[in-house]
Amino acid sequence: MKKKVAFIGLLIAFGLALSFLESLIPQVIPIPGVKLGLANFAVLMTLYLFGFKEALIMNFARILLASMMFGSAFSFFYALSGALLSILIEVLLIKIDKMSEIGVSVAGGIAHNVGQILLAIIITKTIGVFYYLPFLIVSGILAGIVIGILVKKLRPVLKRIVKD
Amino acid sequence: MKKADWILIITGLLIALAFVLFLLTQKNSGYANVYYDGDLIETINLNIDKTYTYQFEENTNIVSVNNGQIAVIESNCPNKDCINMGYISKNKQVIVCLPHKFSISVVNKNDDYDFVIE
Ligand SMILES: [Zn+2]
Repeated sequence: MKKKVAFIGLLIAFGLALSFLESLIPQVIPIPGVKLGLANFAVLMTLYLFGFKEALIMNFARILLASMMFGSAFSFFYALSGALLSILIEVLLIKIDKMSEIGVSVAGGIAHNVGQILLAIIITKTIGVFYYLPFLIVSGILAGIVIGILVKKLRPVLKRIVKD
Repeated sequence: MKKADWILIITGLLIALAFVLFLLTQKNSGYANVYYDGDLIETINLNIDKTYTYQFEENTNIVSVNNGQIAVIESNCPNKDCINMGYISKNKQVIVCLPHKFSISVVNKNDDYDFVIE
């Protein structure tokens, strides 16, 4: 139990580092919250190692800390909507068990960006924001593949450490 | 990788490709609609070089029309994403300033539908 808490703490820290790294990369698609989603690595790893509840807590803590450290109240709410949608899709796909880590990660990446765009449409009440959809799908797929491969490779290693 | 992984990735890429092809076939249409909070504020003629200032409450966006293109050149929003989007000119292209609920859509003046959800 203690070990689990410590490990989730580590994953939060790691997710934060990834969020920070991402905040340094110039935004390709200028819609707030629409990013490569590198932090999804930490979320997905928590999902696989522990479960839905742990991943939810971990991600909420990460987003809260990230917006306090290098964002704003504004970025907090934007990040939250995409994060929730992507985590729900991922947990569902893991349950169904038809996809590898890569497919789950890609679906999560796309869901994250589509969530942000839906929110942008709701806020501006301008449906034309859909214009950004293709760029969002492609960036979601590319980041999803990279993250998926990393999760696939590192999962057995981390699992051993958690179990010990 | 499993079969479902490939299906997802290929479907996603095909949808994106279809969208891009559709957007690439759009022409310069010469007009842009300016929206605030979903309301059409005005339709700008892109053939006339001019600078427009939009002020709603504390939110200011300065818009420039230059050579048939339109861009936000100044804004007091926190993230400046609207400025970073640069100049647009093709039908259906959009600039959004989310914190200000402000957006610009290039439109074909003959289109009788508009992009706003009521
Ligand atoms: Zn802006």
